[in-house]
Formats: sequence, C-alpha cells, structure tokens
Amino acid sequence: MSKYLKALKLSSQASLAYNWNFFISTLIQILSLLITLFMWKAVFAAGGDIADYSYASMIVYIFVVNTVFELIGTNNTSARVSNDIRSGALGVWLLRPFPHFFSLLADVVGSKLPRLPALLVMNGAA
Amino acid sequence: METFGRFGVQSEEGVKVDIRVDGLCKTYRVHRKNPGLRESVKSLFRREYQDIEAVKDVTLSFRTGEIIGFIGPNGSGKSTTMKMIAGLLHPTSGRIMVGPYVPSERKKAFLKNLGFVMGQKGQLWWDLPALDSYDLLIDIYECDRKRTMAYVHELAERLQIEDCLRQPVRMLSLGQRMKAELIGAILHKPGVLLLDEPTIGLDIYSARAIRNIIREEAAERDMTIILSSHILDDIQELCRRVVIIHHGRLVYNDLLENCYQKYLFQKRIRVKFAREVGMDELLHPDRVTEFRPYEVCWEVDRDQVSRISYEIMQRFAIEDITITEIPLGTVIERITRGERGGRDEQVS
Repeated sequence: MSKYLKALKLSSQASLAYNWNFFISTLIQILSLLITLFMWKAVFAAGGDIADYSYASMIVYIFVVNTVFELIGTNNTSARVSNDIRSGALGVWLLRPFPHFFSLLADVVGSKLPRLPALLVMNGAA
Repeated sequence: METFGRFGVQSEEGVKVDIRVDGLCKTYRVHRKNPGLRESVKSLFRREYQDIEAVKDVTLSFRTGEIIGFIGPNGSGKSTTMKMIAGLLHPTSGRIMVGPYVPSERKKAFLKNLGFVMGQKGQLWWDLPALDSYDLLIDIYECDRKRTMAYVHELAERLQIEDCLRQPVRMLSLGQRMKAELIGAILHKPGVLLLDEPTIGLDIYSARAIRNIIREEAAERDMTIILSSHILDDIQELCRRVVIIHHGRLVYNDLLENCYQKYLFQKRIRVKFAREVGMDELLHPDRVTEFRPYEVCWEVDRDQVSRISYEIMQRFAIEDITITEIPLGTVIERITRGERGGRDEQVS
C-alpha cells in the first residue's frame, strides 16, 4: 500500500514544484469564483428571484458546482497518455513493476490535494 | 544456482544461460504519404503502408554475468531488439526468454529484476529532485529502504553528483542527469541491465565515470548487461563479447578480440621520413593506404610486419615509425560492409 501513497505524495510534490504557478493558479481560482459571485449579485440586485432561486441558494449552487468540478476533473489524463504513447515515454512506465493505472490515478489525485485547502476555505466562507 | 543470478537456468549445454533469443523478428508497419494537404486528405481514406523489417531472424544467447556490446549503425535494429528483451515491444515472430520469463508478459518478478537506461528518455521526475524519485522507486521495487538509500549515496559519491541530488532533475546538466538516471536504474540491483546509448552526448569525463560504475557494479555481482553504444571506447572498455547488427540482421557475434583475428590480418605501419620520398621509390606500393611526401602508411599482413618495417628502415632515413592495430571503428565498418579483409582476399 505504501508505494501507492508514495506515488500520490510525489505527484503532490510535483504540483508544488513551481511555487508561483501554484500561487497564481490558486489566486485565479479565487478570482473566477468572485467574478461569478459579483455577476449574480448584480443580476439579483436588478430584481427579485429567478425561478425558485434566491441569491443565497444561487451562491450555494455555484460553490457546490465549483467544488465538484474541481474534484472530478481529470487533468487531461487522456491527453497525457496519448502524448506518452506518441513520444514513447509510456515505455518508462511499462518498465516498472507498478501498474500504470495507479500512477495515473496518483497523478490526478495527488495534483488535487494541494488545492484542497483553498477550496475548503472558500466553501467555509460561503 | 544462487551464484548465477536470480534468473539462472540450466540449458541443454549445461551452461547457465540468462537470456535466450530465438529467431527474433520485428516488422513495423509504417504509413507513407506524399507531401501536401491534398495527399493528407486522401490518406484519411486510403493509406499506403510499408512493412519495415527492423529485426530479422536474430538468434542469440547471453550468459549470466556477461557484458555484451551491441554495435550497429543508426536504425540497424539495436534499440528494437533491446526493447523486445525489456518486454516493451512484442516480437512479430520468434521467442525471447529471460530466465524463466517471457518479457512481453511483463510479469512483476521479471520487471523487478530489470533495469533499463535509455539515453534519449528520462525516467526520473523532471520537476523533482532525483532523491524524491529514488524514494518512490525504492517503494516500487520493494527494496530495503535504509540499505538502498546508503547504496544510492555511495553511487552518487562515486559519480560525484552528491550535491545535485537535491536539485530538480530538469536543472541538471546532461552528464549529471545521465548519472542520476543510471543510479535510478540500478538502485534495485537488477540482474539484467539494458543500457541503450548511456553515454550519448556526454563529455569524456562523465562517460568514463559512467563506464567505471558499470564495470565495478558488474564485477560486484552477477548482472547481465547489454550495452549499445556508438562510442567504441564504451565497448572496448566494458565488453568481452560484441554483437554487431546491420539492417536488422546479426552479422557478428563473438569475442571482441576475435574481431581482429577473424576480420583483420593486417596491421598498420606509419612512417615519417626525414626527406621527401616519391611514390615510385617506395617499397610495397600496393599496400600503401595513405601517401604524403613525408609520411606514408601501409597496411600489411601481421606476419610480415617485422620484415617489412625492417626493410623500410634499412632503405630510408626515418624520423618516426609506429605500428598499430587497425582501429576498431574501421574493423566494424568493414564487417558491416561485408568485407572480410582476410588473408584470402589479399591476393595483390
């Protein structure tokens, strides 16, 4: 089991390798959420409810969608695999006594872990 | 059995054989297209394929603990053969056995005993320090952590890259990176190590450091090593046996020293004269391969070297004389061109 956790850890570490990339992408994540919030705020300020949605329930909806989207996104795994096949880099994975599937899974999950704190803080704020 | 490596098996001849390759063939199907957009659209529906026979009927066997050199021009099928032995490619026909395993089945026990360094492809995580990659590799190969880490640091010290292990791999120089890659490929102490041009593009110091490690590690335990390289120093320094592949076919499979005996009965005599000499006054003009007014080079049969050099020294005032083997590169060139250069052809 520990090698799967270790692969997860390594992918997390790799996603932290470029510090400004990490900070800026987190900032963009927050900004894009704020923009959506302000847009709906402006819409609701113009008048009443939209269908059965109040402003508050719309905000909850947006946060839930945002969180789910963040968690189920696959980081272009298919694009990465096809690229690996084309460039021959896939061979490196196939040489190891470690299923390629798990290294991909570790990559997807591992790269999300460092983003979780920001996500939780934002949800907490909402 | 133990002393012959983890894969050692008894073959019919009673010799321990680690790797057996029988009638190996690999054919690639390659799509061909004329230039231009119209042709591209056309090729969507009708494709022209060409079969390229990268490896043709290669039969080989490697004994445990041997270091074998793979030589051959680019595109001769060396890498394809190595990839099939590693289980990355399925043979079109023929059979490979590495100990009790068929490589293309990629059984865990097989993969755990295999190391592969590809000069062109990195195996370490690009954005992370090598130590992070080693950390995961130790878990993947289920090595003893403490002992393996000590081994990693020992190798790093011998390769003089101890300082670089904490830098991201992408920031390393080519030489440092290849050394780090080598450590990554051998830290689990594999019984079979494949090295595909491990010294490509390296300076002589780095190349030598890598050769030394390979030699020392091979001497330490039974490791079957297949080394492909265009750098003949690599081959000459490490391999007793060489396999020459040309156009996918095996053209030579014997000890390196037999290369000379089988294919070259000549030695080279190079003479610097004290005065200018003309072609007409030279001895054995038919054996001259290079001619300049002050310097002449002969290629003569081994058993005549002393007689001819004596004759030359008697006849001319000489500044310098050297007698050398014909360089290995030339030998290989002749073998791949199918020339024998042997005594029977030296009629002239």
